[in-house]
Amino acid sequence: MKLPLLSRSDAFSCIPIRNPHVVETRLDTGEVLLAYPETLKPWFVTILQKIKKSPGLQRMRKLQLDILGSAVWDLVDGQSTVLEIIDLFAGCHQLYHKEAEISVVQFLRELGRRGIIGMKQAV
Amino acid sequence: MDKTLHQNRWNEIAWNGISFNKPAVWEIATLGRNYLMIGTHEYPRMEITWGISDKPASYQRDIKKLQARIYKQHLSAVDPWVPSAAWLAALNSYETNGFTWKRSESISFGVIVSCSTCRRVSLIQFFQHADEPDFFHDIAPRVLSSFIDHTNGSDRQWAVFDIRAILPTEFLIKTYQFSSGYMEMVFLSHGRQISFYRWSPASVLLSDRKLIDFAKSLHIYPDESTQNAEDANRIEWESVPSFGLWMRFSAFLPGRFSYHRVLIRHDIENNRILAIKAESKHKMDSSHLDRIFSSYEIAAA
Repeated sequence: MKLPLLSRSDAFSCIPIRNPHVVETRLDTGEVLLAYPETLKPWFVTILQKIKKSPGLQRMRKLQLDILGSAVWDLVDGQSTVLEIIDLFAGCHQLYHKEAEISVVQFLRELGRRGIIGMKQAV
Repeated sequence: MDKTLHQNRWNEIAWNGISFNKPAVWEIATLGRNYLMIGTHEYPRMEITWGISDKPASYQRDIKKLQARIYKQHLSAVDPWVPSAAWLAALNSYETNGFTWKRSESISFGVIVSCSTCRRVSLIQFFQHADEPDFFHDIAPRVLSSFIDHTNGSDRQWAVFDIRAILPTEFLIKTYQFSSGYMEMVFLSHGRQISFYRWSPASVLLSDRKLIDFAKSLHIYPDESTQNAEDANRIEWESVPSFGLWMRFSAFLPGRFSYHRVLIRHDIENNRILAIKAESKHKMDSSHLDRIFSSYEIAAA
């Protein structure tokens, strides 16, 4: 099914939601280590299931966030919109707003690509 | 609706010969050598492109080019438009010709601005979304009244994003890079090169090291220097050409600079690290450089 295109404004008002299967570990440095289930293509999962015949097929992958990535991760609380996260992140680190916007959007996109977060459209 | 119509803070953009004031919530979305697209996080607000014309200003020629471009990009026809009195008053020292074009969800009004003094032709257009109240008669004239396309003095201001610097007009931009966390502008004039650098956020970059350690990790850090003044938040060094035969000879080689002066400072208030590097084949005038170095700053958010 083809998803409807979001306007830029709609995209900024989306709420990032953490994948509940992601395991978060806080390191001594303050950085966050995320363990997340690897997302596989459905056809690949079907083949694997036929070969392995066991239910626990999902491998966990790890991603260590740097201090800025960890700060954004902490702001992904399931309630704040993308724009609110950008504003908070920019304010927290005294970043130029556009700079914060680019960094946060890129970071969230990367988390989304790995299946670590999803996006909920604000009502 | 975005915040455009509900704010009072304005700031300046000065880039490659042109400058104007804009609402602070309008930010640079795209930047080219002679091009700026400015908008809020929701909508594009303003586009400006400019160039020096060798030929006398011709409305017919410019509008034809514009019509072709707009039609190619947006499949819309461009119509002539007579700018309002407020627009004309704002641009009274220029020759102006108005135009307008429409799409289903937005409308654009713009002007082709020709300056007889500097022969620069600028195309400025404002965009407004269909569901918004009119800002063309309020904000646009204020932006246009601050528009300057040439400087009468010997210095030119550069102000993009949060960077502000003043350089002599003979320095032309050579390369630039604006990415999140790192910005760089390099200027060249008759064998002299001045480069501006900016890193952010400093609190993260310097969380586990001192400024000098950060400086040592940079490509601009010299192998050797003759003077070195440093404190915790400011490091400055200078490498003056020696009078050896090889140094004299190498001064004639293209692209080789024998004089280097670098300043790196931690702007604690704005959480940035700023650096300037001046390079030349010969020693540069210290007071001149001091003035350029001191002009480089971060505009408060």
